[in-house]
Amino acid sequence: MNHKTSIFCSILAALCLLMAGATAFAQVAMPKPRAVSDAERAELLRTLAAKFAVADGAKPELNAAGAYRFAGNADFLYVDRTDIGSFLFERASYGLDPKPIDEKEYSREVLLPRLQKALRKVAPTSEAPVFAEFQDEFAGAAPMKTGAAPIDPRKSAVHVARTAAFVREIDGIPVFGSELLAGLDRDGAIGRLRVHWPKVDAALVSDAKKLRELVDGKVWQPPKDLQDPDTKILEVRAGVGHSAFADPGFSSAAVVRVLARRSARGTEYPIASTSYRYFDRDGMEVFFSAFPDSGSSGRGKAREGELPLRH
Amino acid sequence: MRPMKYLAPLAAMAALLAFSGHASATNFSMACVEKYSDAGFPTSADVTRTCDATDGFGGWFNLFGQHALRFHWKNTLVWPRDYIEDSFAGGGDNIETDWSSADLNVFSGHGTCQNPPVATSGDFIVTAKPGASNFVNIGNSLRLGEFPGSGVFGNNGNLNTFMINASCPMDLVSLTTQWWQVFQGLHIAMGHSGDVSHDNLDSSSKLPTVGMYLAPPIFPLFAGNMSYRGAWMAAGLIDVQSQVCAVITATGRTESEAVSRRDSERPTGAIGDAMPPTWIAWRWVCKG
Repeated sequence: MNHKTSIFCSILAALCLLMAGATAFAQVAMPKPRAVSDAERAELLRTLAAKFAVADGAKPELNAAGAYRFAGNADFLYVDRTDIGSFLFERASYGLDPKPIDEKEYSREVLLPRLQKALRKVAPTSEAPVFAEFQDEFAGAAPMKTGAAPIDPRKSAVHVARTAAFVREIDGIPVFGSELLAGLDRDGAIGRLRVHWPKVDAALVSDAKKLRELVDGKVWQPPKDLQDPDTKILEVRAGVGHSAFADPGFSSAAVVRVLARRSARGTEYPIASTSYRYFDRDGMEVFFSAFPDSGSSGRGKAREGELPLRH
Repeated sequence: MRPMKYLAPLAAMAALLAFSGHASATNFSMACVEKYSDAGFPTSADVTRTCDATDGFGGWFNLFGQHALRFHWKNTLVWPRDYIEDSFAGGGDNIETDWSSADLNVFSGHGTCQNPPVATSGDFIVTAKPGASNFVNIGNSLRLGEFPGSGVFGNNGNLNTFMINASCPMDLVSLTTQWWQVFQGLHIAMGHSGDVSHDNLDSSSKLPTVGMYLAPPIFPLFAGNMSYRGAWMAAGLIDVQSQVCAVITATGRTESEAVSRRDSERPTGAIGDAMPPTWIAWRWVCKG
C-alpha cells in the first residue's frame, strides 16, 4: 500500500468510526418533541373514549415526542408508544379515596377475574399474563411535634388501593422487562394501567430455551466478576430480555439474568447493591437500557460562589 | 371610565393563581454516584446504573424543555455538604441542594439498610467526596426548605421536593424519627423502605419512568402535570425486591394541607410554602 492509499484508508476508517459513533448516539437520543397530527389527535381521542371512557368534552392536552404520545388533563395521564404498542393510563383519583378498600371486593378471588375482564377490553395480550403479586397502597397522617414519641406509620394508615402486577412467559420462558400493571378504581374503572408487552421474536424464545439447558446443566457459569467473595448470587434464570417502556430505544435478546447482591467491606456503615445483570451465551454483558449521558456539571467550571473547582 | 370593568378579570386571575399556588418552570438539580471507589470506598461499593437513572430522569422530566436543570453532579462531585444544613458543621446545602430557588432535587446512589430497621434506625444517603465522611445521616444533618420568616436554620433554603433513589433511605418504621425534622419548609420527599434482604435495585428503569410520568406539560399550567404521588406510586416499584415499599411523605400546618401536598403537588403546581408544620402525611405502596 502506498502512502496516498494509506492516508485514504485512514480517512475512510475515521469516517466510518465517526458514523458508527453518530449511530450509537442516535440510538440513545431522547425522543424529539414534535407536533401531534390531526389524524393522531383523532385516533388518541377515539382510544381514550373507547378504552377509558374519557368524555369528548375532556379536551386533553396532547403532546408527542418521537414514538411517544402523551394525552392528559388534571384527571388522567395517557402515554403510548407507536413503535412497540406499549401504553399507560393513570387516573389522578386512583388511590385517593381515604376510606379503606373493601377487602372482600379486592380479594384475589374477586379482583383478579374483574381485572381480567377489564383487561380483555383495554389490553388484550398475545399470551396469558401470569399473576405475580399485588402492590398494596396505604395512606395516613398524624399530628407531630419535635421530640414526640415516634409514630409507626404502619399503625396509622388505611389500605387505599390494590394493584395487580403480572409477568410474562412464553412457552415457559420468562420475558424480562415486560410489564402489565393494573388496578381498578372504586367505581370499577381502570385507575392504574401500564402495559409494556412488545412482540417477542420466536427465535429468541428458542435461543432462550437452549440457554436454559446450559444454565440447568451448569454449563453456563456467571462471569468471574460475579464470583468474588463480596458478591452473593441470588438467582440465575434464562429468558428473553428487552428494553423498558421509558428506554427511548428498543432491543431484545435471549439472555441469562443474574440477580446478585454485592456488599462492601470495611465501610463505616454497611452498604450493598442488588441488581439484575444480563448476559449472553458467552458471558458477555447485555444492556437493554441507555440514555444520553448528560455529563456532569462543574467539570472545569466553578460551582456558584465557590472555589476551588471540583474536577 | 369604569375601573371595575378592567379590575374584575385581573382580580379573578390573581385569585386563581393564588389558589393554584406556584405554577412555573421547575428548577431541578440531580446528584448521582456510581464510582464510589474514586472516593476511597472499596471497588465492591461501586454501582452501575445510578447515573443512567438520573440521566434518564432528567431526559424525560425536561423532555419538552419546560424546566431548568441547575446542576447534575456525578461521582466525586457529589459532596456531603451538598445535603448537610449549612448552619451545621460541614454543611453547605444553601448553595447546593437547598438553594434559594430550588424546587426539586434527585439523589441516586447508595443508602444503607438495617436488618431489620427499628424506630431509631438512621436513614442515610452516601456521597462520594474523596477523603470525606460520606455517610450523610438524614435525620441528623438534613434541614430542607427553610421558609423565609420561619426563623429556623438561617431561613435560606427553599427546596420543595426531594426524590431519593437508594437503598432504604425512608424506612417506614423510623419515618417520624428520621424525617420529621427534615421538613423545615420542604414540601414532599420520596424514597424507599426495605432492609438488607429486600432492596431497591440498582436500575436505570425506575427513575426514567418516574420522569416519563411527570414529563408532559398539561395546560393550563395551574392544572399541572401528573402529581409526584401519582408518578412515584405508579413507577416506584420498578426493579425492587419483594416487600420493598415506595414511600412519599409531606407535611403541613393542618392535616388537610399535609394530605393535599402529599397527594396533589405537581412539578408545576406546588402548593405555597407554609410553616411551621404540625402534621405529617405518608403514603406508600409495597411489592407483595
